[in-house]
This record gives sequence, C-alpha cells and structure tokens, in this order.
Amino acid sequence: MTDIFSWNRFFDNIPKILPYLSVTVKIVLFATVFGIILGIITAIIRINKIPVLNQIMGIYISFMRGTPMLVQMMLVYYGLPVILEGLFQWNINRWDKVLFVYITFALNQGAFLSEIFRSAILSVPSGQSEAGYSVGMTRIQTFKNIVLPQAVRVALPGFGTDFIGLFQNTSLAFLIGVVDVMGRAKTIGTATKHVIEAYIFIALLFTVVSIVMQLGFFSADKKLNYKNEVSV
Amino acid sequence: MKKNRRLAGMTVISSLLAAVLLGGCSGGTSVESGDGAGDNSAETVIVGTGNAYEPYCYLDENGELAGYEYEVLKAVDELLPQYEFEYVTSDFANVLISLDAGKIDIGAHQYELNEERQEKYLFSEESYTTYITYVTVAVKNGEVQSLDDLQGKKMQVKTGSNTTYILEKYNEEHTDNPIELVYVDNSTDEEIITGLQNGVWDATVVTKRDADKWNYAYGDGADVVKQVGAPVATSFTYFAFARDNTVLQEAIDGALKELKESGELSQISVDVIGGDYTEGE
Repeated sequence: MTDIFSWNRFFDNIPKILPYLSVTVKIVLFATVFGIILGIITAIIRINKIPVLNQIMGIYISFMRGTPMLVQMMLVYYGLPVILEGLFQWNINRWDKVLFVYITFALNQGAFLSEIFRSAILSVPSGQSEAGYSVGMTRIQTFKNIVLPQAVRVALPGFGTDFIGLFQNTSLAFLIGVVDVMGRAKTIGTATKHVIEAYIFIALLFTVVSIVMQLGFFSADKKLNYKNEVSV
Repeated sequence: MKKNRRLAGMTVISSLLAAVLLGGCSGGTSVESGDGAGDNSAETVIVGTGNAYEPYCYLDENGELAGYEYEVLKAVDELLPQYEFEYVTSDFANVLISLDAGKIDIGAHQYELNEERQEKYLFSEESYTTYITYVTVAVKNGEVQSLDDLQGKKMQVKTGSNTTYILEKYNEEHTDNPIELVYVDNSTDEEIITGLQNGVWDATVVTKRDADKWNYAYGDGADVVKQVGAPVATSFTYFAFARDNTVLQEAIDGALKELKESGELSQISVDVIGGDYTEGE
C-alpha cells in the first residue's frame, strides 16, 4: 500500500480547502446573528412568563436542546418544505441547500442562547432592579442601565463556549451536500484517493480558529471584569 | 404542568415526523416539471447526483462536479433543447430521498433496478452502464471464496444501495447464520481499503472496475484487494425519476438511445471510466 501520509499532498490541499472556510464562517455568522435575536426574544418571553408563548418556547427549547443536530437538519431540509407547502402553498424545495443549513443553525442557536441569556438575566439579584425603581427609573431604564451590563458579564463565558461549539458543528452541513471545509476534505479524498492529509489539515484549522476565538473571548471577559470598574 | 409540557413536546415531535413521512409519499406529486412542453423557454430540470464516487460523480480539483454521470447528462442535455439541466450534489443516501421530497427531478448515481426501487420511482428504459458486482476482500484474505463464506462475518455496505438490498434479502433466507452487515455511509475509498486491510470488515461488494481503481490507486504496483466467487449482481444502471414524471423519462430515454446509436455514450465511457462499460464487459 502507498504511503498513507505525504507532506506534498498536505501542502497541496491547503489552498484547496482554505477558501471553503468562508462557507463555514457564513453559517456561523448567520446562526449567531439570528440566534441572538431569537434568543433574546425567547428569553424575554420565558422570564416574563407570557402565557401560551412561554409554553411554546419551552417546547422549542427542549426540542432543540434534546435532539441531535443532524435530526434537526434533516427535519428542516426535508420537513419544513412539506409544512410550508401544506400551510401556505410555498414551494421552498428548490431553495439553495445552504439556506436550510442557516435556518437549522439559527433555530438551534436561538434555543441554546436563550437559556444562556435567561440564566444570565436571572442571575442579577432582584435587589438591583428594586434599587433602580427606588430612584425613579422605569422598567426599561433599569433593565438597560443596571441589569443588562451585569447580565452580559455572566452570559459571556457561556456564549463563548457555545460559539466555539457552533463553529465545529457546521461540519454537519456536508451531510445534505453543502460543501464546507469538511465537505471539501471528503471530496478531495474522493478525487485524489487520499483523505488523511485533508483531515489533519482540518483538525489543525479548527484548533487554530478555536484558540483564536478563545483568546478573543478571554480578553473580552477580562475587559468586562468587575475589578476594572471598581478601581476606576 | 410538567407532564403536560412533555406531552405537548411529544405531539410536536411526532407531528413533525409524520409530516416528513407524509412528504415521502406525496412528494412525487408536487414535482412540476415535465408539463412545460409548450413553453418557449427551456425548462429547468434539477439533477441530483453524488459527490463521492469517482469517476462517476465527484468534485474535481477545483471543487466542480465531474465524472461519468455528469458527462452523460451533459450530452443528453445538448440533445434536449426543451430542458436546461442544473446539478446539485449530496451523498449517496440523500439523492433518492431528495427525489422523494421533490427537491430534484433526476437521480443519477449508478442506480441498479430492484423491486423496492421500482415501486417507488420511475426509471429510464435505456441503461447507460453495466453494473456487475463481486465480493471484494483484502488480498491476504484466504478464507473467503464466495458469498456463503461470509456468513457470520462482517461486510461493509452502504445505506440504500442495491447491494445492501440484495444482501438483506440473502440474510432473510439465511437467518440461522446471516452475514453481519455493517452500514457505513460517507466513507471514502481510502477508509474502505484501510478497513478491509485492518480487518474492520471482512469484505465489501463492488464492481470489477472499482476494484481495479483501488488496486491502481493504493497498490503501488501490487494488488490490495481481490474479487472472489460469482457475481453478486449482474445488472445495468439507470436514471431515476419521480413516479409520475413520464414526460422527462421518455425524453431522456430518447436522448440516451441516440447517444448509444451514435457511439457517443461508449466514447464517454472510454474517456471517463477508461473502458466501454455501456453494453457489456
């Protein structure tokens, strides 16, 4: 059997795989932006216990957190078109596949982030809000000026972990045929008959990106630290 | 309260599942193509094919779709001015599911015929490749000489393939000592070869040309796999369509026939696969 690993192939692969990082980054960005919006709305509904919506969101969160992401992606890819066709006669079957990936990841992130946001907001003691009301602040002012700054600090580490996890999860997208870095590695494997070099490069790529992101979140966390404010 | 929530959750999940299952049955009727013969502009036909079966359907150096399926369909498309083909790729198992769901109009992935498939899909009358498969084992494996020798042993198979269908039928007849089928999707050739050599699986089933391809790519002059026994299946491959899409099927059959008569199909086979595998081997 020929050499299983060759440095030549390893370096040949890099320019072939790297451009596909943009597909991964797009999925991450899309999922994060819409996930944050969805997460905030869900967290607000859950904290204020708005009837009916609160229960619906409870089901949504437990479904998204309790089922494999692959199942969710298959349900969105194959199931959503059926539901929309039945309800509104929309045929979204021929949409670009990557849109289904965006929708899945945004819905999934929304659920996870809403729980991070909810626990962060609830972690701020109610005395803080009462203090705000006692000096005549409205509910919105109190939330914006007193609760939110403290909640962000609590939410940040959880958000960072989730974000890095999301980045790795995007490799599932290839299972419905969206070619991202993982997909490109597989397809290089098929075309050249050698896949191990591509896998190793991806492992390195994911590691480097994760470390960079971790450092980013670490420094953001440090900046938001209490001590800085107290010492000012 | 808690119980209610759980109940509601289960209702939602099961209705989603039901929707998907129903989609599998009704998806065929929602395909609109094939009725637009009167249109002046070319009708778009979505072809679903694989991305990991070299040299039939794979992504080349630049990440573009390449291979025999693509070349044949490109030639077919040139003969059919009323259609304009677009290609989407996914892994093998998702191609036929996409056809169910109405996401694609043609499934192209070296499909052999079997009863189960013919119940669900419409196939072209004209074939475009032979497909003769054999039990394939590592060269050093001296024990396995036929399919029957594999009873109680591990065989690598792919979900949804005709080989899997044949072997599942085989196991129904040999319940006392069935072949242990290991379903492995999305594996690359290199993973299969490594698995066969390490003894992860005892055998797999592929065509002679696939085995030759492996020996050429990984053998370094020697053979890495060998094929034993009588053919597991002797068949041809066809394009798959939604059950009611006879208009498209007839158009493609016509074009395939033309390509065969002009010798162009054989030429594509020689150019892409490296031999004429259109009528016999």
